[in-house]
Amino acid sequence: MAAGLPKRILKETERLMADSPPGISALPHENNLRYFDVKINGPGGSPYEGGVFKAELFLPEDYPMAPPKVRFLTKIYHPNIDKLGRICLDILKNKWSPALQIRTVLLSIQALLGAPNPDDPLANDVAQHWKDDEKGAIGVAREWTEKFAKA
Amino acid sequence: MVAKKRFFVPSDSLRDLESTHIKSELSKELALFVPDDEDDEDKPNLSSSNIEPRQPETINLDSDDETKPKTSQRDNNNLHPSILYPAFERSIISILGNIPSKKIRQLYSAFSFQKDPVSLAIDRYFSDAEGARTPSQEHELTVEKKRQLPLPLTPVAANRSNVQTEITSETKDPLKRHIGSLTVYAWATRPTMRPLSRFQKLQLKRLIPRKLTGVKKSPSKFGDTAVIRLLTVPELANVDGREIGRLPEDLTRIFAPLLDLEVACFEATVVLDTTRRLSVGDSFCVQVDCFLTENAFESSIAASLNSGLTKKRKIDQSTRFNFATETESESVLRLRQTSLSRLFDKLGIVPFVLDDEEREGEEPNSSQSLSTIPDQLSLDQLKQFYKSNQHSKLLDSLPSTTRPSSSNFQVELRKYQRHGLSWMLAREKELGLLEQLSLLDMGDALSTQSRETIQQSNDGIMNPLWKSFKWPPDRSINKSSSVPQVLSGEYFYANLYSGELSMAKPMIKNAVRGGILADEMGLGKTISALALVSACPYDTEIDQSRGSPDSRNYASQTTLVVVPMSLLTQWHKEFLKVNANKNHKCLIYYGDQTSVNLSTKLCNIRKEIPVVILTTYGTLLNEYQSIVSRSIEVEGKQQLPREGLFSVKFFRVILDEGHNIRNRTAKTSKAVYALRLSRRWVLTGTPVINRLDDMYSLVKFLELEPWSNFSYWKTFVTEPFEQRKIKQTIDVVKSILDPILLRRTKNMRVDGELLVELPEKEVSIQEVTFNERERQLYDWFRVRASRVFKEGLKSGDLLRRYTQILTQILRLRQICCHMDLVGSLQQDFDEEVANGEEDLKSELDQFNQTAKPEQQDLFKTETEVKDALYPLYQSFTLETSECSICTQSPISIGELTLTTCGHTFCLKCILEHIAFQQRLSQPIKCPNCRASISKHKLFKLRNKITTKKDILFHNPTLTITKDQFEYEIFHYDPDNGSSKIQALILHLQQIQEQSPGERVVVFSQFSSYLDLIENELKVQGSDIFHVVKFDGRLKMHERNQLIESFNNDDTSPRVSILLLSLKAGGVGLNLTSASRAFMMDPWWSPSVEDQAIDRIHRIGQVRNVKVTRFIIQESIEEKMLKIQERKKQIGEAVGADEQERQKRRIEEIQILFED
Repeated sequence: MAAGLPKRILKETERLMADSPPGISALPHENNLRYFDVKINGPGGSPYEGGVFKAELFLPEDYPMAPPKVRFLTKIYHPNIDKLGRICLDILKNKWSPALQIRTVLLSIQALLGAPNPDDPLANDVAQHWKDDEKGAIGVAREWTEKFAKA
Repeated sequence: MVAKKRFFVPSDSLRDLESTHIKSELSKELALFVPDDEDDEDKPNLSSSNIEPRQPETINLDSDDETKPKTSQRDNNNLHPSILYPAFERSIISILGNIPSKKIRQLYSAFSFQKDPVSLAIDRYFSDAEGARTPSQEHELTVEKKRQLPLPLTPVAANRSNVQTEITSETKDPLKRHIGSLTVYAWATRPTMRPLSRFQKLQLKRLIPRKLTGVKKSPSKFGDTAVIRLLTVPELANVDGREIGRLPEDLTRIFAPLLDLEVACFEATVVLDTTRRLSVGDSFCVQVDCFLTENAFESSIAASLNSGLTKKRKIDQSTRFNFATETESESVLRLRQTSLSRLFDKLGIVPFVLDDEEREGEEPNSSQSLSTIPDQLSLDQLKQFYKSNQHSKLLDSLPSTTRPSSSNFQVELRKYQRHGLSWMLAREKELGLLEQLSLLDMGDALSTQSRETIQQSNDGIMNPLWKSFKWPPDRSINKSSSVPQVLSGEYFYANLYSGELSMAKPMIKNAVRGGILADEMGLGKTISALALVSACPYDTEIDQSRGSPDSRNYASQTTLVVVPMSLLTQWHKEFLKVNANKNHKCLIYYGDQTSVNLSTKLCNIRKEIPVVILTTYGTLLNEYQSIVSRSIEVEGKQQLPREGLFSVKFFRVILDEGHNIRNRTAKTSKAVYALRLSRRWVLTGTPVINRLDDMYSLVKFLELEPWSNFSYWKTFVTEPFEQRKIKQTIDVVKSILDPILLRRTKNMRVDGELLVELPEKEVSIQEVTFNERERQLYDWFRVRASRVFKEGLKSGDLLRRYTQILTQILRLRQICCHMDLVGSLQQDFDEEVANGEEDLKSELDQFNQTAKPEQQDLFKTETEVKDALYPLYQSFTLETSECSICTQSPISIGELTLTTCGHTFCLKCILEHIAFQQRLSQPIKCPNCRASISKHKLFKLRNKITTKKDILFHNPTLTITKDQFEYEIFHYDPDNGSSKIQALILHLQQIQEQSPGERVVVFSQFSSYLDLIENELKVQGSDIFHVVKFDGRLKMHERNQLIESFNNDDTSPRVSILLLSLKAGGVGLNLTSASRAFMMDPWWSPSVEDQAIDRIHRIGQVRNVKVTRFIIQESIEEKMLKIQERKKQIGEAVGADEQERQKRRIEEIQILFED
């Protein structure tokens, strides 16, 4: 499968390793260069601050025509991220463009943590909580961060 | 069954019975027998057969009416004639037919006083007929004719072949030699009165049953149904014994034909006393001593084979594929052959093997393999027979220092070429010259041993079909003290494939002066041939033949070289390059030049006799055709009018690319055979193209006996091959050719060193994707094609629809190249393709209706295009351009593609993106800015300076900051043109950027495709591409100019591109100045492609060669690759018979249409 890795993936990987964006790291698996272990620091000023959120990123065969697949491994309380860690982000879906890269995707995800969007929810209960009681919701998010993202 | 019983009782014995004189003597004999009813049964048959012409030994009762009373009186009374003349005459005429009465009188006077004059007279008559014949005896002429009929039977037997025949093996006592003995159990057919005793001699008689009409039609039958009787030996010489038994059937089958052909004779002796008298069905043990007779060693068998063959050859020419029918003589020979080899097998006679002879790989039980069916036998054995190491021995013994004298030849030969020259000179039997020329360097004489080897190889080698056998010690019961003179000696030789026997060692006369130089392409066959000419330019033995009628027109100083037209100039150039002797001229005999009178130019004693004449196959063929109808018969041979090339006898003829004559029935081949010459050479890199029979024509040209005899070839090559004994047959051919063929390959190593160190060659496949419209059109036709195919498969008449299917396949292949090719004339095609123009037109119309392109994404007008195009000059810079999809930066001019929003991508990337979005039914947007884009609204660059002025001319409102751009932006039409050409252009642009001045060859098999490619390449600009095209339409001088301009154009930074038709340029051309090649379309046969590539990858090439083959993804071309692969594995359909070919074709079509 990994045979004939497109030049672009190699280039991106190299750049990710050499010059990773602040608060983000992505390391490819040695045996599968399309599979990355990702760590994203919760952005400052957000309920996720101080937490390190693990995620996995996979580049499908079609990449870069098709978007990468990303999923949080660390439990996170966020209206756009469900229990399974799936992320509701337009550029991972219909807004994907091959001009985007792993780096830009991860930055977008980091930004998503800083700016939850309960109007386009994935986890409905969380989104409702956010709408009804934003403070309470942020509290829970902080709790979760404490509980799951600081191990 | 009844027929089986209807044997004559020999009349002699009947008469004897009536003779009272011997009756008492016979009573003892008769007492052996219990009378049985067989005799009674015989009698009515005898009388009923009196109308039939009779055979001499058995004279039946009715016709003997008159003679009988007299014969009974014969006794020893010599005073009275035993028969009166009229009766004698009648008897003779009734038996022998109308023979001159003079002869009858002669016979009468010779025998009338002896007992049984009629038989004696007949014997004499025939022995005379066989012996010295006098022309006055007209009847004997007819006998003579019958003799020539290649029947197994002697003339006597031929005459009486429709009568019951009984041949006693001992009637004549031919010279014979014991070959072995068998102990067999015979079975008794009649009860005997007494037990048999040891060493009792028995007579052996052969009966051919009455139903002999079958003999002629299927001679094998008579061997099967014949009976060999054992009879007691009567005490009186002229009295026949009584049958007591018969030989077992299996032996009879073996013996009978041999007896009939008088090849062998047999003596039977009882070896075990029987304890009691025999009853019917008992078996008794006899020893059968087998002898080969003098007749067996007569060579007439070969003659009869040959005469049969010449006749057959004539038939062959009219019905070309009638190879398999067997003439009567052949089947008789086959019978002889089978019986002989079975006999040898029974007797356990195995070929004599010398100790020092190489016998590796021979099975120990060779006697077993001898016994089986002849064909199998021939091949398995031939393989071993043919472990001929003659060739390599010869080659090894030759010096590799030989080179033509430097006053004639000014080019240094490579080592293997010098070695090859030695071989060629040895083949021409120019030993002195060889020694002289090889000495030039080394001062080292040919060793006597190598001289011997050379001599030996020229003297000929033992015909490998023959084996030597040692005469066994005589263990027969009646050992004869002396061996007949003609059969003396320790060994004899047998050809178990034809059944021929010989006392003399059968040698293949290696009389051919010449051979086949089949070095792999690129090893310099031309140079080698010219070296030979320079080394030995004249026939030095001319003086010996002076005065013979041939010598008048003997061009003893001229070598004729026949070459394909495309190579004519190359040969001429090579000649000029290597020739150092001012007196050695080369005449091109082609076109206008053919008006020279060759015989005055070549055969008179003048100074300027051309040493080489170059001509083409076409010229030769033309001349041949213009005179062949006027050929006259001289001494049974067709003789052409002595005109043109046929007016003289050449010293030497060299055929270049000799596979041109591979079809022996083609006119060109016949023209070549008709040349008169004394030394002959064939140069070819591919001696076998389609079938092993391709070789035959070369062998025929070389007059390599015996293989130039088509029947030999057929028996040992064609037929076994048709029986699928492919590997063995190939081995046979190899061995046939070993002494006369020299082939070196590039990979061959001499002393661990490669013959020629060629740079590396890398062949890669580039998969190309159809554009949308191509795909649509392709699928449209593919559906059609597979429908035709499936219908054909269903109804089982696939082959009847073969042409139709081929047409469909062709269209698919054309679409893979360029959509415009569909419907173009198929002049490029070997294949038989139905034209179906109208049909095609309506289909295309239908297609156009169904497949209307979507309109919305198109530029509606030219103005729209311009409005979008010119602003783009300002939107990017080439140096910093980047493709956001593959991250390539900068993008090359060839690949750079612009969207209407001014973003740059690689063409491949953006098209892939568009296709991907289309598949997902997503709106298509620019990856960079998400503006709507369309693949119909893309722009590309080409190499052409564009000035600010140019831009402002079209769009004055723009602000352009640069004065000029080194590219021109143009609107890219994704559906126009061919994906392959696009791919090619990309490559060429890259080459132009990376190594300007490079030379590139582009191959296609469609010359109309080359036209399209030419147009598109020219559009790219003559400052980057220098395009020349070479195809079959070029005249000769144009070809040369063109190749010249391709090889020598050094106006870099252009890329010189030669568009070469695979068919026209497949052979001969030397294109080593190029190191890159592109194969635009796959060919059915991988070897054709290889050959094309070898035009570049050959001697003289100094750079690594890179070849790119374009293959359209998911198309018939991928299937064609499969077929190529298959062909590589199972070999090309070399020599397969028609049925096999058809089978393969069907299989191939199935591969093409499998999903």
